[in-house]
Amino acid sequence: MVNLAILRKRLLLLGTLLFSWWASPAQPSEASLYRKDTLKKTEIELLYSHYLQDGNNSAVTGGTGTEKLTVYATQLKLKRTFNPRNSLSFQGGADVITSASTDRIDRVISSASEHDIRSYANVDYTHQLKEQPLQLSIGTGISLESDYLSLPYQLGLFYDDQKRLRTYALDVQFFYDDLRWGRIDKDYFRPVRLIYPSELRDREWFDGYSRTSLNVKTGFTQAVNRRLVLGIFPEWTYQRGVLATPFHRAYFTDGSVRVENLPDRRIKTALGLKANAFVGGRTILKNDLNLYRDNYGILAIALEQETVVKLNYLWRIAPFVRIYHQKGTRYFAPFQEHELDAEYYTSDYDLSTFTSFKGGIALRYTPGHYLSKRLTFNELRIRYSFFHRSDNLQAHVISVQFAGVFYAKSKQP
Amino acid sequence: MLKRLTFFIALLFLFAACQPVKPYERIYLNDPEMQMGISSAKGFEQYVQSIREGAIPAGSAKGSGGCGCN
Repeated sequence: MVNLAILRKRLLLLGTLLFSWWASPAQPSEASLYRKDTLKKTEIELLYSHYLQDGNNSAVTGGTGTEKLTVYATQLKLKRTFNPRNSLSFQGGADVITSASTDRIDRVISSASEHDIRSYANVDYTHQLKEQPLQLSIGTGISLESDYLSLPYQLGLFYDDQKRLRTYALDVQFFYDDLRWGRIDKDYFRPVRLIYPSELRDREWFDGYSRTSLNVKTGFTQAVNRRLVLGIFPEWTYQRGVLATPFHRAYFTDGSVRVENLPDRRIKTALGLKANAFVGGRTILKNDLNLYRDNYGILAIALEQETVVKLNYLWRIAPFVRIYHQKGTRYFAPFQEHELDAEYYTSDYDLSTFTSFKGGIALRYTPGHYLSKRLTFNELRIRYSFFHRSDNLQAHVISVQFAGVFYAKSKQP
Repeated sequence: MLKRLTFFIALLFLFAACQPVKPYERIYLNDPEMQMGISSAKGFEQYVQSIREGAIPAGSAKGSGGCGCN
């Protein structure tokens, strides 16, 4: 009897253990439950800019005449992040330009104002290397206006040394510009010819119709301490081809007129120095110094200062000022002052000796609101600037910028 | 040439004197306004500025070419 009771207990215990083993499998491993997923998102940015200009030294009429011009510029930027290491960016827009001085380029008539449209699109792909804090980028695009077609190509490297708080950047850009008119004209829809001023169309003033530009842009930034970042940005440009503007006039001392002519090679060197400093608890001082020279004889220096003040966690205000001085090209002369034996000549005041002043203010609002389940409104930026040049060219620019993020629907594990 | 070399060496010494900043001390450095990039609104301003001036702005995305301007 006792043996049976003990046997029964043992059998009961064994049965219980066997049942527990069958009905209670082990917990799945962490690896099988957890699956890393990247939140796919698209950053969206909309920009509208309005540009108003006036002056009295139009290069189209040989350095004299109105420079009244209005530009309505719109731009859309999209950046799609697929995973932590890959993203694709698109930037496109259209600028509508109305000018009181520009040759009626699209109708091949030399007279007063008409309108023109510049449209463009660029695509860039960025890849972050797995083992190194190095980003590679590659891009291309297209830009089209009545009197040119531009094809850009870009390669970039960006190295972010978080340990030493340094960044290194290298950007190489190549542009092929075809200056022929006709692509967006309804009678042609193909490149036809360079546009010269109407009274000068009896001959070809240039052998070619294109130009190429190679820009090598480098950058190095270093955080000096908790509140100061310095940056150095040297860059070089080599341009070759038709570098003059075919519809610009140049008048000579005897009253004769020719199409503007500039050397077919241009080498530019620029150096940017930046210092951003966080002062106190709410103020950031952003300081820029730019130096420039080229083989046309242009020397320039620019100083810019922007002070960002954080009013609260939503609003920031930033007044800014910029002073620029340029020693003009040796090929420049005002209206009817070019010597007859000059090989190169321009009356474009953009290349002359002058001093310019720019001042303005920017306002930034960063609410971070959800407009819908997956769309956030992150930023509103309004920026106004006034530009004045010593030859009495004046311009106003106002820009409004919206930014938000659209999050893709996450997949269920 | 010598002046340029001296200037760059001086800058290197300046960077060599940088203070280390621990990750939890980077609240100011990580502020978006402290970054060296520029907004699209300022980018458009630099674009029209570079057309009205003979120089290209270093440190920005805008380069020479891509338009019918000088």
